[in-house]
Amino acid sequence: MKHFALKGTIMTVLLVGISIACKDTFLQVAPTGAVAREQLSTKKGLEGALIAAYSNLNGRGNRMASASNWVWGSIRGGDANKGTDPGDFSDINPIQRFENLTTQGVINDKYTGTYEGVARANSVLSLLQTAAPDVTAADKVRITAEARFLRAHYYFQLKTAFGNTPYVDETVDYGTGIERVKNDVDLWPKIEADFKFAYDNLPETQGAVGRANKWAAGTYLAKTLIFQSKFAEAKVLFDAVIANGLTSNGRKYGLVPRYADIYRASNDNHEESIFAIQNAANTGSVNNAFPDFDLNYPYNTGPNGPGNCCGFFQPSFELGNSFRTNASGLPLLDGSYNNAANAVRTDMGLGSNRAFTPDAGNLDPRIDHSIGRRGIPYLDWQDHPGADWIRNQPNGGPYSPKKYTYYRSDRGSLQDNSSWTPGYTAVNFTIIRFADVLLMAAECEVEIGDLNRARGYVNQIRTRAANPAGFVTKGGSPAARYVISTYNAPWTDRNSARTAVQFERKLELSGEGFRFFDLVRWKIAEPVLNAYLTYETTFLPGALAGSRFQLGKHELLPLPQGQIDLLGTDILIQNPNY
Amino acid sequence: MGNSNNVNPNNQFSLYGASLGNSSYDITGSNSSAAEGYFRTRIGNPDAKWETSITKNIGLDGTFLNGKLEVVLDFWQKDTKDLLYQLPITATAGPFAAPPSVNISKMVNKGVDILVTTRGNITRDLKYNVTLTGGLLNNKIVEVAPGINYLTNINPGFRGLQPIRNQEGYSISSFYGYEVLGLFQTAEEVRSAPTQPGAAPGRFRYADINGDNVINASDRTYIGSPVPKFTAGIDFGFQYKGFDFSAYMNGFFGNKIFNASKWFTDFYPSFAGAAISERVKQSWSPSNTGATIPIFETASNFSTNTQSNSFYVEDGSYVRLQNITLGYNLPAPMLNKLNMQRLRVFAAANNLFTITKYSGLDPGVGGNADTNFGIDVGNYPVTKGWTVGLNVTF
Repeated sequence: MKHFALKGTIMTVLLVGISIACKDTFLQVAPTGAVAREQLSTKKGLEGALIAAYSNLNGRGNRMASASNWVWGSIRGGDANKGTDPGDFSDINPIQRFENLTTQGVINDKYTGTYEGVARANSVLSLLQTAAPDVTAADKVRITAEARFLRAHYYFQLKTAFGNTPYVDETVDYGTGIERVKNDVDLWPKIEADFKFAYDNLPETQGAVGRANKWAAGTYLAKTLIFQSKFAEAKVLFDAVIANGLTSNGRKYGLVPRYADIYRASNDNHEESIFAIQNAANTGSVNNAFPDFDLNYPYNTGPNGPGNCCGFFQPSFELGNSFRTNASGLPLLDGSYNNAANAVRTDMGLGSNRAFTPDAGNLDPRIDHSIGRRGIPYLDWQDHPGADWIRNQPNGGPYSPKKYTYYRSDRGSLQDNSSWTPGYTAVNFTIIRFADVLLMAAECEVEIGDLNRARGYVNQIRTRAANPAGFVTKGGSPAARYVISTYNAPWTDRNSARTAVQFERKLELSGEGFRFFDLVRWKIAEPVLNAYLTYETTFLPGALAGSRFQLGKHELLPLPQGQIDLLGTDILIQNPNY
Repeated sequence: MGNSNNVNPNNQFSLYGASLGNSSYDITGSNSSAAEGYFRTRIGNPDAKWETSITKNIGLDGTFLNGKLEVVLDFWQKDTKDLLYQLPITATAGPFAAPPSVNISKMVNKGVDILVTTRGNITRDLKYNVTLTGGLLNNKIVEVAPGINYLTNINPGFRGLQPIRNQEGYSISSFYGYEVLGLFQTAEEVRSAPTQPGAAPGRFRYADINGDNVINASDRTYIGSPVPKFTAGIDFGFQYKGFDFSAYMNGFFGNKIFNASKWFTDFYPSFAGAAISERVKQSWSPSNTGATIPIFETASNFSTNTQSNSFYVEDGSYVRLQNITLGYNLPAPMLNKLNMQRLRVFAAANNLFTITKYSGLDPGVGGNADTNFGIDVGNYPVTKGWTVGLNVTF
């Protein structure tokens, strides 16, 4: 009896104790391998969040969301054709033909991939509000300025591609109304405000060269202004940038002496690189190694050329012809470069085993840095053999891309072999380079300043292009008849000056994602692109026949149908005529 | 759907993460290394709870004719609600962050199952047994979420074709695209038909579902379901003295298959120069206007090979003899001489034949998940097999 009472009491005490000893929270298990918001408020956390915002610049494997804009700026602008087979990545076909559908995956990719960058920049700014004590006031300012620079960059991409899209900043998020933000606000003032803050608050140089500095912000702000045709304000900034600008690693802005060296991975972060996407090879993920360009190489090159796959982004006939120069070394600004007498001779329709002599007329030397064509040495590999390196000549023409590919000497070290194709490299993509700045400054001078100052800027570009040390050579002498000179006669007529500056942009910046957006802001997209399509269709009827640019519609991409279906037509207003 | 296997265990937490592929950057310009960055990987829902399902069933179990006939018949309905569904969120919140699963959707499954077994002796030595099973199934998504009538986060692509849409009022994994009325025969027909991008003689003519005289994304519609309406199996066997014989057949009826392999084999521009089906010899041409395969050409556009449409949808019903076995047990007197308890020899064949109208390699097409199946990308077909064997017991 006694034992029973004792045992009973002990058992009761134990049972009661056990049932009240553990709380529900004992069952809560925190996730492993992940970070909660609170942990990101330290300096290391904030810097890491900022790195993630930079990281999205190349699209992270989403080729359409990269600032390289090879489809949106260069293919649409007439620098290049999609290339490859017609059915390969066929979602690009309607883009090239100006038959954009609101339901297209590539359009959705551009939209969502760019907003990932916005969201990451907003994350940094929102985390800053709860920063830990180890974050100094100076740090806060710099991190804020870098995040706002990046946010403005991503919105610049959205604005130029889509027009007005919803403006979300760090004050609104999932659960606090982000799905109710409409696209009825003009993005330009917001972009300007962010770049202005960055310009006023970023240091002139940075510890890490990939970071944006004061002068990158100033340049991008001036670019934002010129896109709105605010030439006077832009000119002030351009003058300051040209006079005082420094790269993030302290080099005064200048033009790289040899044109081809702009696109060499071994020469990354040169004096012309104002803001670039930093790529790196052999990091463990090819998403760091210029993933947006992985398809843009000659085809079936084997060990004798770069890439081996996949034959995309083939420069256009029209672009090739634009490099024709006259007896004085000047381009044919009257548009006669497409005439049969002036057009560049190509090996279209010829197999590589048939004989072919390359064009023997006067050419701008930049042609052989921008376009891979038969008979001309392709970087340090071999002479381009023609059709053997082209996947489908009737669909894409005879040319191969040449900028931003890689050298034989880069293989393994500055090129990443760890994935399905060798086409991953460490070469940086310059989002803004100094030549672009000089040409934009020239545009401002043409509109509201001194025509001959504009001529001076253009001549700086042409002098660099004319540097004989920069010519492609074959057996010790220039590979083609490169005849180029500066504009020596003073410019007196504003319209012809404007044409000359615009044409110089086409020659200098081809294939770098600018052309379409330039044509739209100059308000000449419809006539220029329809003339381009008419001409190019004579060579590529299968790919382009029947395509037409419609004024008032195709200047902008449609907002993705999926987003409109999700948020409702009262929140997202579609662009006109879609 | 209908279970929590697809729900991430971290669903309740808002998380950030570091990923070499998704968030690193070579900020120092080293060209060979990348610094670690933190990006939002998940938006959490702390209120998520279990799904609820209510099953109703009325059935009959009976044995008749002194055990010679057994019948099991069930009528059932399973209503599932509060299904956890990752409600899509606006791209402006950052698409790399996994949206939370929220209890919001409803689905209903209902059907009839029947099993009939009969066995007996035909003569003193010849015994038989037959089992028939059959089931009718109807599956429907009742509701997704307020304002959303299809699962927007499930849209798999097959070389640009996007054939799946899990829509309210239809079964899971339903096919979605343009309805092909036929092929354009003449240029006048193209002119008089509703405006269709890329239309030309020999190419697909799509139906104008909403009647607005323009063919665009609003004219896509439900074009079939891979869920079989009726499945059946029959298992029968005979025993005669030492011989035994059994066979098993099953069949699926009323399901459709989206034959995506036709994108590769019936269209030239898909991969120019790659292998093509013999069917293209019967493709449309001005002298062969009764064809079902569109004109064989290089163009790749809306009216040729870039859109999901009913050309790819085929009847996937099939009956397959899965197994047939013939065996012989040696009689006891012989076994005693060999000191064995049992010796059976048998010969069996698997997948001997399949009866189907389907033109692809194998109508038994599976898939990745219940919301995304029935798409044939040229899956390796199931093979016939023959086995002979010996069972010995000492």
